[in-house]
Amino acid sequence: MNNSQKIFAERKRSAIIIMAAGGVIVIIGLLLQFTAIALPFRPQLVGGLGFFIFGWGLAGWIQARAYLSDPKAGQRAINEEKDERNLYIRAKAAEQAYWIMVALALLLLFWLSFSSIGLPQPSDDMLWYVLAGIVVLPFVVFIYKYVNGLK
Amino acid sequence: MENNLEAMRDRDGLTQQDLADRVGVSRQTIISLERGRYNPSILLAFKLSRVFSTTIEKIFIYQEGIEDHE
Repeated sequence: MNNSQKIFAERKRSAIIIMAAGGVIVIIGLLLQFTAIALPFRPQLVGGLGFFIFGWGLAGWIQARAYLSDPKAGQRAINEEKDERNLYIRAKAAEQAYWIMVALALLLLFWLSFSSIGLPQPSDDMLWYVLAGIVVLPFVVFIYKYVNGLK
Repeated sequence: MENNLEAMRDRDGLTQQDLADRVGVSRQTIISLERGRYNPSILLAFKLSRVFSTTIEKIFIYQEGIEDHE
C-alpha cells in the first residue's frame, strides 16, 4: 500500500464515521419530529442537518473508494491537493479576502461609532445585511481570485 | 524567469503529466513553469534537477533586473 492509498484508506474510515454520525442525527431528528412537543426550533432542521452530514460522508466514501481502486489516479489527486502552485494561489486569494473582510469590518465599526454624532443609525435589518455582506463578499472574492489564479 | 524545462522534457521523451507525476505536482504547474508564469520553490527545482540529472542553473536561467511574475 503506497502513501496515497494509506491516505485514502484513512479517509474512507473517516467517511464511514461521518456517515454514521449523520445517520444518528437523522434518527434523532425523526424522533424529535414525532415525539417532542413545543420545541423552540423546527425538528426538521435536525433531520436536515443529519442528511447533510450523511451526504458529506457518503461523498467522501465514494471518492476514497474510487481512488483506492485506481492508485495512479489517487496519487494524482494527492499531488493536486499538495501542489505548491495551488497552495500558493489559495494562500494569495485568502490573503486578499482577509484584507477585504478587515476593511469592511472597519467601515462598519466607523459607521456604528459615528452614528451617534450624525451618521444614520443602522436598523437591525440593515446591520444583519451588512454583517452578512462582510461574511459573503470576502468568500466571493476568494473564489474569484482562486479560480482566476488557476487559469 | 526563463527555463529549459520544455526542451529537457522533450529530450527525455516525457509528457507534462509524466514529469508532474515524477516530481509530485499537478500537470498545470508544469505548464505554468514551462510558460514562465510560475517560479518553483527550491524543493521543486531540486526535484526537477534530479529528474533531468543536471543542476538547477541549467534548467532555470536567472537574469538580474527582470521582475518575476510570482
